[in-house]
Parts: sequence; structure tokens; C-alpha cells
Amino acid sequence: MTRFALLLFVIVALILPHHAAATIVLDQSIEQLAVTATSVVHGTVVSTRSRRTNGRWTTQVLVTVIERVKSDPAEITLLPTIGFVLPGGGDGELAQIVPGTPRFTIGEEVVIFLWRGPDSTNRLLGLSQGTFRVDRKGPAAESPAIAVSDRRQLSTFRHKPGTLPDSPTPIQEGVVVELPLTELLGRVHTAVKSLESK
Amino acid sequence: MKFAIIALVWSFLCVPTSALAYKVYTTLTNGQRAPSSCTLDQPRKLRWNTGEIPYVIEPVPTQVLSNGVATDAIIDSFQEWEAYSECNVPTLKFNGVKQNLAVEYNEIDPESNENTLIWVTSINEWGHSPGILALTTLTYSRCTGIIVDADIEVNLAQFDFSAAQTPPPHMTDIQNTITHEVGHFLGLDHSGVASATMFANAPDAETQKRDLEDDDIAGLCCLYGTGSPSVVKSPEMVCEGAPPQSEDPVMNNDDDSGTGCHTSRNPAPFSWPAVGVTVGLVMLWVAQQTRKAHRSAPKCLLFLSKPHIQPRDNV
Repeated sequence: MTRFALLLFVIVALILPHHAAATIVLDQSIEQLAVTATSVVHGTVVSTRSRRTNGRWTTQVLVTVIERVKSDPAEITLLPTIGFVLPGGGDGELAQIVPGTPRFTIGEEVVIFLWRGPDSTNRLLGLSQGTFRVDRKGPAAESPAIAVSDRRQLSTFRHKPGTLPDSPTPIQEGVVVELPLTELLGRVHTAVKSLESK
Repeated sequence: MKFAIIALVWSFLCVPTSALAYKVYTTLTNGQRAPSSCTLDQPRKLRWNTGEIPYVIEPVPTQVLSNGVATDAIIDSFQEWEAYSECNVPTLKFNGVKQNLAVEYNEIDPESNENTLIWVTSINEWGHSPGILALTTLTYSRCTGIIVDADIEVNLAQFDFSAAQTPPPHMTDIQNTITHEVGHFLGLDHSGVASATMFANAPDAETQKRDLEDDDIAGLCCLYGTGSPSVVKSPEMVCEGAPPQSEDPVMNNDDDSGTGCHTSRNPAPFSWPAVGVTVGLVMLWVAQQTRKAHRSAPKCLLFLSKPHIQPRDNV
């Protein structure tokens, strides 16, 4: 029995919060992100490049498309790559950081929720909220690919239930959201179909 | 078994919800590594290296907030961070209300730069995706980590803010939001302490973040140093590795959080989680030893171990 208690104690110690937690974003579920996004893309990062315009750094990220889970109606020709802009970046001695902005490395597989702004530039919807990295390094060869969204640098803002009856109810899914890639893509497909049928 | 249960309960009681505390940004945050020309090879905390940080704010759009009240609320948000004399935090100087401010940094003419608070009232002017309430842009040296400019943007195009003492339930308190953003402005990341201003979540109408908690002050002292060790309020506030303001803020590589600052998760004198876990383990060990002793010891030992009563001398 003591061994059981010891085991329980160790488990308790391990599961006690280990996430540490400046951008404040509206807390949105995957379905809400899918509906708001102008395009949702599953792909691989092929390049990242910082540049400065008018004293402001941005980083241009280019992704080769594996699947367009949601297509932007404004895109007449669907190209094999899609680009988007992140706030922040750096060159020389100086850099700019907008906390909550994910960084991308060449070759990584991602699912990204993009929003095309009035200036026709694609941006990440909700910064880290709209970014899922695909982890295929499961313990077994047949392990399913996991999609991970790390939102630890984001502040989330929630409407109190019932205060805004016309707005969708945000669903907090945690600071590090992990789910099988197939489930993520399935939920996006379902949300998009539901939107199209309305 | 009784001991084991007590040990578990003790462990629960001693491991506080504030096991995860303040963090600070470093030159490694978001992967911005130092250029090869940089002679300093260690990552640095992002912090200001000046005694005074001036800031200006755009006129508050009157259709959204009462101008005078909101401006006061914003000044209060900045002043909250310099109200703690135990930390050598730079003075945050309000340089007035100015029109047409921008988020930018002019490297050619650094003196022309201003730290700004900007209101965006149209989604067409909001240079980010929708759903973002507010954000802070920090410009810093990738080599030294010294912040040279900070700008805060607030999304009035999509969100309703209030400057009232008690905000309506469906609105966002402007002072609550800006106090949190000023923490980022100074170099603080999010805290795991739910009551802290730098905690990452906020519901509608929250005002709790208007006032700093010990954890926020500890983070501030970590970044900017303390005036004297004698003014430290609590063990959690001790910031091992916090440099005096005159020294360079070198990141502490022993800190697994990568922040360069120790937090109340592992403060110098003692840590409540560590105490809780240690006491819990010791009690479990004692419970196990007691059971073993009960099993192996002859029963008469219990009798023999009773204290021998000596007859008292009458005085």
C-alpha cells in the first residue's frame, strides 16, 4: 500500500503545473480559428527571411503546400507554395520581438491558420494560436503524427459566458495544445464544411 | 499507511499554485541569436539600461473612451511599475499626448525614437490578424539584450475597453490591460502565478492586474536589481543572479527555464515545492521504516521501551 502511495505521490508531483507562462489574443477553439481563417494550410517551411520596412521588422515565411485544408477564395491560382508575414525579426545588431509570435525553422511540417488582411498580406491568425507543428517522432514507427500548438507566450482573453450572446463561445484548449494531426485536419474540414453549408 | 496519507496531504499543501513564477525575455527568445560580430557569447536578459524611460501616448479616441479618464488610467498603469522602491526600475516618464505615433525604430537617428502607446480604431489599420487585443513590440540589441524601444498597440477596432473604476461586465478594463503590457515593455514574460499581473489569462472586466503582486515585483527586481538585500519582502522575492544595475545582465545558464532569472520555483534560500516534496518523501520513508520495525521487533520491546518511572524525592 505504501508503494502505491509513493507512486501516487510521484505522479502528483509530476503532474503539478509545469507550464510557465505579450500579446493578448481572444481565446478561440480550432473550429473558430478554422472559420475565421481565410486559408488553412498543411505544409513544410521552405524559407524564412527577415526584412525591415519603415523601422519595423517582419519575417516572411514560405511554406510548400501538402494540403490546402481551407482555400482562400481570393486566390485565383492555387500555387504550390504560400507565404505569410510575421511581426518581428532581426538583422545586424538589432532585432524586434513581438512576444507570442512563433518562429519557424526550415524543413518543419506545420498546419497554419492564415488570415488575409486588407493589404492582401497573409498573417498568422492569433500568432501562436494559429500555428501547429507536426511531430512525427512518436515512440513507435506506427505512432500517429501529433500536431502541437505552443501558446505559452500568449495571453488569452476570454469573454465571460453570457456577456456577449452574439459572439461564439471561446473554448480554452490549454497553453500547449496537442492532438493527432488527423484529428486536427478532420476538425478543420468539418468546420469548413459546416460554414460552406450555411 | 497513516503516515503515507499524511505525507500525500502535506505534499499537496506545500506545493503552491505559484510553483511557476515570473520569467523574463532573453536574447534567445524567439530564436534571435546574436550576430557573429557580437563579442559577448552568452545570451542576455532583455532589459532597459537607462535611468529614465520616456513614453508618449496617442490621444484616446473619444468615441471609445473618455479621453481624460483613459489617459489617467494609462499613466497609472505605468506608474504602478515604478512604485516599488525595492527594485531599481527606471523611471517611466510620461512625455505627453501626441498625434500620429507609429510602431517603428529609426536606427540612423536613435534620438528621434519614441516609446509609444497607439490606439488602432480600424481593422484596416491593424497590422495584425484579428482577435489580438493588444501587443507590445520590443526593439533590442541582439548582442547585449538592451532594449532601445518599446511600443504598445491596442486594438480598439474589435474590442470594447472601459476606463471606468468598475468596468461593465462585457468590457475590457484598459488599466488592467496596459499594466500587463507595461510588464512586457520592461522585459517581463508571463508568470505562472494566477494572481500576478503578468499571468497570461484574463476574463472580461478583470481589474486584478491593475496592482502588482509579489511575483511581478520579484521579476522586476530580477531584471533591474534590488537596492539592498534588506528590503526583500519574502523568500520568493529573492532573485539569485539578479545583477546590480551597473553590471551587465548575464544570463544564468544554470536556470533550466532559459530565462536567465531564478524564480520562486528555485529561489536561493528555499523553495516551497522542494520543501513539500522533501518532507513528503521523508515521511514516506519514516512510514516504511516504522512498518518494518513493527514487523521485525519482538512485542516485549514495546513494553521495555516504556520510560522507567523513578520515585520522586520529597522536598
